[in-house]
Amino acid sequence: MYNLKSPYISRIKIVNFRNFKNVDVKLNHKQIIIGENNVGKTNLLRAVQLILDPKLSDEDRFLFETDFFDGLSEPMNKGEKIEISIEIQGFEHNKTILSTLDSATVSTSPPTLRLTYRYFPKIREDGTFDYQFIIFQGDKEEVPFNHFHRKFLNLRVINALRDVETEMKHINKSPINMLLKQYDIRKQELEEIASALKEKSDEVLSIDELVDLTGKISSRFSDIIGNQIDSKISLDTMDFDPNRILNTLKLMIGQKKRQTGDTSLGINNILYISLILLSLEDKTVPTIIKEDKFQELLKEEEAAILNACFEKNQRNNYIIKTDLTNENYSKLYHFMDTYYSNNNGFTILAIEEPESHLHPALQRIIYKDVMKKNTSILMTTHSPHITSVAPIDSIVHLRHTNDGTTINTTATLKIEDRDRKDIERYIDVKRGEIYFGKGVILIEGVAEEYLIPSFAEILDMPLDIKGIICCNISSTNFEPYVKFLDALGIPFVVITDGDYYLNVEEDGNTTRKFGLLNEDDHEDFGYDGNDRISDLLIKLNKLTEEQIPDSFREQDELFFSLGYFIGYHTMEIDIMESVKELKHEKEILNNIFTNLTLGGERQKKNFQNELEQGKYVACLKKIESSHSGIGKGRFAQHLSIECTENHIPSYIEEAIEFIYKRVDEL
Amino acid sequence: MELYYQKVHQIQDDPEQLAAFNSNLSTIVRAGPGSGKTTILTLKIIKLLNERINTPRGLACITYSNEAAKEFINRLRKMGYQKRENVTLGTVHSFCISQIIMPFCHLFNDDFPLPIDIITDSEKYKLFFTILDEFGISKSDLRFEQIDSERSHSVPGISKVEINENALAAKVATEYEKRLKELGKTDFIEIVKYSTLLINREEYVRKCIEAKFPWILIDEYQDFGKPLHELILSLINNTNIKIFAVGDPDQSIYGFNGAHPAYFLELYDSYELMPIQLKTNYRSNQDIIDAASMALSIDDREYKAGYRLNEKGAFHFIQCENELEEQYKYVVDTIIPSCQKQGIPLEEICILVKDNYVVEEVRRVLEERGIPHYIPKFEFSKSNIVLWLKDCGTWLVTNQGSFTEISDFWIRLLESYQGMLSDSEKISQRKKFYNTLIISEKYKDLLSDWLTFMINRLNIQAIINQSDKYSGEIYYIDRILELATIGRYKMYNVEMFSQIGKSDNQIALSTRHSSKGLEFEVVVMLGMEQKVFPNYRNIHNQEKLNEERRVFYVCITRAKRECYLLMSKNYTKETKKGTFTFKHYPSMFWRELHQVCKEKKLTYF
Repeated sequence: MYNLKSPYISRIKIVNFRNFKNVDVKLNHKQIIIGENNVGKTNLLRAVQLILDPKLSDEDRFLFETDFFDGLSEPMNKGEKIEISIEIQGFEHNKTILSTLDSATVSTSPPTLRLTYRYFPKIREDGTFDYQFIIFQGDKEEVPFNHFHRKFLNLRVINALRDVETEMKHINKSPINMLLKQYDIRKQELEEIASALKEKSDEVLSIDELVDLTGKISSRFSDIIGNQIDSKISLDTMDFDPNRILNTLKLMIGQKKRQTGDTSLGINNILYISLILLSLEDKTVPTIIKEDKFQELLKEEEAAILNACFEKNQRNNYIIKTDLTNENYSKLYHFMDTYYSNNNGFTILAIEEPESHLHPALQRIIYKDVMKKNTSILMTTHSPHITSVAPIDSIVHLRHTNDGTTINTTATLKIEDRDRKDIERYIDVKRGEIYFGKGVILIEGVAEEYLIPSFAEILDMPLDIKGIICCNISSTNFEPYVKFLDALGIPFVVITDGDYYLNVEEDGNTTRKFGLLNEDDHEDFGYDGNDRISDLLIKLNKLTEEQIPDSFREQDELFFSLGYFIGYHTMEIDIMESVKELKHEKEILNNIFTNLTLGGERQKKNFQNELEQGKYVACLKKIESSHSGIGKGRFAQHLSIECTENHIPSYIEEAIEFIYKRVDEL
Repeated sequence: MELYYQKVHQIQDDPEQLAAFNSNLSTIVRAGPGSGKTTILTLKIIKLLNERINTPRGLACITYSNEAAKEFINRLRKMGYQKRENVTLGTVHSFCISQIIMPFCHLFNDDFPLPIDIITDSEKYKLFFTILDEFGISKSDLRFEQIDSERSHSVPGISKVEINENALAAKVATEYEKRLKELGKTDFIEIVKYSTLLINREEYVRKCIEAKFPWILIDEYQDFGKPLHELILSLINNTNIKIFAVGDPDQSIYGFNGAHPAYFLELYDSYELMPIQLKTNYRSNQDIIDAASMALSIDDREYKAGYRLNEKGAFHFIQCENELEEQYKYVVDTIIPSCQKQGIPLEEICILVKDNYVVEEVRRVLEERGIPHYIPKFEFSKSNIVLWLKDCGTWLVTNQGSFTEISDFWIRLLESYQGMLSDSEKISQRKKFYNTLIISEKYKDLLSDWLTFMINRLNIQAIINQSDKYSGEIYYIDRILELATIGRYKMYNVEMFSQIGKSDNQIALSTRHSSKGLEFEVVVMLGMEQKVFPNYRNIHNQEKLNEERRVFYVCITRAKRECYLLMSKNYTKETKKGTFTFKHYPSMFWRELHQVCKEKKLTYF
C-alpha cells in the first residue's frame, strides 16, 4: 500500500573517469550492476560516491592522474577534465529535498535534479595547470552541492569486504541504534525506568551477606589508616544512565537468544542488511506519536486525517493503524511532510556483492523482497540468483571495449506486459544466465539446444570458451529477447527454422500448406521464417519495408548480415538434406533412429528407405510419432554425441561463425 | 537567547502582541504607530525557527528595503539567531530573483529575458520620452512615476481592489512594457509579475517554494504595491504557505511607488488570514495619539498609550511672516533653545520638511549656526552593494563590524561573477580583498577618491554587469559616485560616509516621507501652508489628498510628546511675469488639528 517511491538516480554520465571514457546511461529505481571482474563496477559506484557519499572527505574527492581514463596519456599535462553527473528523480513528494535542492532542477516533467562533479584545470599564469574540483547543482556552476545538501540526499555504500559483526557492535553506528534514534523516545520515560532499575538493583545491598561484607571491609580499612580522614567504605550498584540505557540493548537471534556474534556469518549478513534497509526507509510518517505532539498537530489544518490514521493505546501514545488505504496514506504523508517532518533526508543504498556468505536459496528470497521495497538500491553482483529475481528493467550491464568500459541499461526498455512476464519467467527459471553471456544464440527449441553447442564444438568454435550461451526461448517470439539483448548490449544471433510453405488455392482462398519439401514445380511458395524475421526487423526499426528484397536468396543475405539466420524447413530436415549424398552420416541418423524407436522392424526399414529416397518429412514424422516414442529432443540429444561436421546445416555454421566473430571483436 | 526570553516575557501583558506572537495560522497584523511591530516580527521569526520549522526548511521575510533587512538580521542575531539555510531576508525583488527567477526561469520557454538585464534610469527616461514624443503627449502632462504607478496598479490577478485608472498613463504604460520587452530588458515590476505568473502556473515551483518557506513574513505591507499583493494572494490561494503580514494602512504614503492602503485592507478583511490589531502605542502620550487620530479623521482605532500614562502633549502653531527662512530662524532661535532649556537632548528633536531640497537648506542654516545635525535615512537603503561599501568604510576607519562579514559578501559577489570558488581560492581572494582595503586607507580623506579606488580595483561595475543577482545595482553605484564627486557628499571623507544615518547627539533632519519608523520627543514640521502641504494639485483629488493626510498622520505620530507646526504668510516668487509676493494660509491639516486641540482641550500654543 505504501507506494511512494524514494528518490533514485535516473541517469549517470561519466567522462574520463577510470574505466569510462564517455558513458551516459539511464537508470531505474533499482539498479543491478553486472559485468566481469575488473570491468569497473566498483568504479561506477565510486563515481556516484564522489558526488553523494558523505563519508568521503574533500581529499578523497581530489583525484589523481591515475583516476583519468586509462586511454588518455598525460591527461593532467594536457588539461583534460573528469566530469561525472547524476540525475535524480522521484523526489517531488518530499519537502526536504525540494527545499534544499531546487537549484539543481533541470526539468519539471518529470521533475529531475542534476548534480555534477567536475575535476578540471585552472590555468596558472605560467601556462601550467592547477587542478581542482567542484560539485554543483543543475547547470549553475555557482551553486555548490556540499556537505549540507549531502545530509539530505546521500549514498551509503556497503562494501564487498565488510565486517558485519564489528559494525553491529559499534555503539554509535550500529544500525539498531540508528533505528532507535528515529523514534521520539522521551527522556523522562527512560529516567523513570533507570531509577526503577537502580532501586531494584539496590535491593541487593540489603542482603545480610553484603551488609556483613561491607562492614568487614570498612572496619579493616579504617583500622589501617585510622579515623582521621573520611574513609567509610560502601558498596554501590551499577549506575543506570538514562542516556545510555538504550545503547545497552542487544540483538538476539532465535528462541535460545543467541548473540549475533555467535550466529553464522550468513545470518548476520542478512540481519545487517535488513536493519540497514529498515533504517533507510522513508520515515516521514511516524508510526508512533506522543500525546503532546499529537495534540499540537491536531491544531493544524487538515488534521482530520490524524484521527483517521492513528489510534491511542493505553500508554497514551498514538499508534498508526495498519490497514490504511492508499488514499489515506498519501494524505497522511503530505500532512506529515508539511507539519511534522523529521527532515532526515534520503539515503540511496549501494551494496557491493550482496550475495557474500549467502546460500543461493536465501539470496533469492531476500532480494525478491528487497526489490519490492521503496528504497532505491544500487548493487553490484555476480550472483545469478540475485539477477534472476531482479526486475528486467533494472539491469546495468558493464562491458569491456577497446574504448573503455561501456554501460548498457534496460531502464528504458519498452516491452509489452505479457512479453515482460515471459522474459522475467525465463530469466528466473534459467537463473539469469542470459546476463552473464558474452554472446547469446537465440533458438526456438530443445533440439537446437542440444545440437548447436555440439556443432560449435565440431567446428572448433566451442561456445563455453567464449562465454556464448544458447538461449532456448521455446517459441518463435524473438522480439522481446532481441530488444532486451540490444538494450544490454550483448551480441547475439537468432537461429530460426525456414518453415517452407506452399500457397494453395482452395475455394478462392489462399492458404499456406506446411510440411512439404521444396520441389521444382512449386511456383507460389514462401518461407515463414523469412516472413517472421522481416516483420521483426521492421518492427524493431532495423529495416524498412522497402529495404527488404523480394528474392529469398537476397533476403537471406541481408538477414544473415544482421545476425538473423534462417533455415529452409525445420532443423532436422535441413540436417537430413545436408547429408543427402553422404552414406556415413545417413547411417548415423539411421542408427540413432533404429536404436531409439519402440517401433518394429518394419518401421525401422521404412525410415531407412525414406531417408534414402529423400522423404524427410516422413522421417521427421516418424521421429516425432508416439509410435516410435523418440521425440525431437531425444533424437537431437543422441545426434549431438555422434554427429559429424557434415551434419551441420550451412546457416547454423554461419551463425556460429558470426557470433564468434562478434564476441571476438569486443 | 536571553534577550529573546526577556522580550517574550515583556509581551505577555499585551494580549494583541501575544496573540500575534503565538498565532499558528496565516495572520495579518494591523500595527499602529509605536505598537512594537518590529519587536513582534523579530520574536515571531525566532519562535518559528526554534519551535515550528525544522532545518532544512526555513522562512522568508520580505522587507521594504535591504537596509531594513540588515536591521532585522542584527536584531535577530542579538536574540540568538544563527545563520541558517533557507532563511532569507530582503526586498521583494531580491526574493523573486533569488528564489523564483534564478532557480526556475530557465526551465520554461517564456520569453523572459535572461540573463536578467534591468533597465537603467537613463534608458528608462529615454524610452519614456520617446514614447511621449511619438504619442504627442506633453512632458508636463505625465511624469514617469505615474507610469510605474499605473503599471503597478494594473498588474493582473485576483485582487478586487480597483484604483482609478489614469487612461493616459495606461496607454503609455502598455507601449512602455512592449518596448521594454523588445529591448530584452526588464525591471522590478516585471520581475515580480513574472514570478507571480510562475507561482500560478507551475506546480513544481509552488512545491519548491512551499518546501523552502513554510512561512513567509512581510514587513510594512502597506508600502508595497499590487505586484507583491498578487504574489501573496497567489501563495495563499495555491499553497500551504503561512503568511504573517504586518503593516499599517494609515501609514501608506508611497503612492508614487504604486502603494495603496486598499491592498492591506483587502487582506485584512479577507477570511483567509486571522486579523489582529495592535492597539497599544508605546511611543507617544495619549494626547499625541488622539490628535493624530483626529487629524486622520478617524476615530475608531482605539489606540491607547502604553507608556507616558499621565503625560500631557503639547502642540505649537507658529505663524511666521515671510519665506521659509523665517521658519528656519524660529527653529534655531526659539525651538532649539527652548528644548535645551527643558533638558531635551538634540537627538530627540526632528525637523520634518517637504523634500530633499529643503533638507539641504535647513542643513546649511544649521551648519552656519554650528548646530549638530544628521540625516537619519540613507537613500541607498535598497542597494546591497552601497550598504556593503559603507560597511567596508566603517570597518576601515572605525574598526567596527566584522571583516568576515564584509569579505563573505565580497566572495558571494565574486562568485556570482566568475562561478564557484574553491576553498583555497576563497582564502586567497579574502587576502587580496583585505589587502585592497588596507591600500584604500590612503584615500580615506576624500570619499570620491576612496569609492573610485574601491570600485575600480574590485572591478565592481563588470561584476554587476555579469551577475543576475546584482543586476539592479548599477544605478546605485552610478548615483553614489555622482553624489560623492559633485553632489551632497562632495566634501565627505570615509569616516563621514560611514556615519551617515547615525546620530551622535545631533538634530535629525528628514523629509516627511522618509520619517517613517523614526521617533522623537519633539517633532518640528516646516512649510505647513495650504497648497504647499497638501499640494495644490492634490486638493481636489480625493485619493491624493488622503495620502497627504496620511503623510501628516505619520509626521505627528513620530512625536512622543510635542509637535511644532510652522508656516509663513508670504512667499515671494520669480515668475515669467515678474516677481510677485503670494499670500499663504495655514494648511487644512493645521486648521483641523488646531480645532481638535481646542475641542479636546489639549495644551496648545
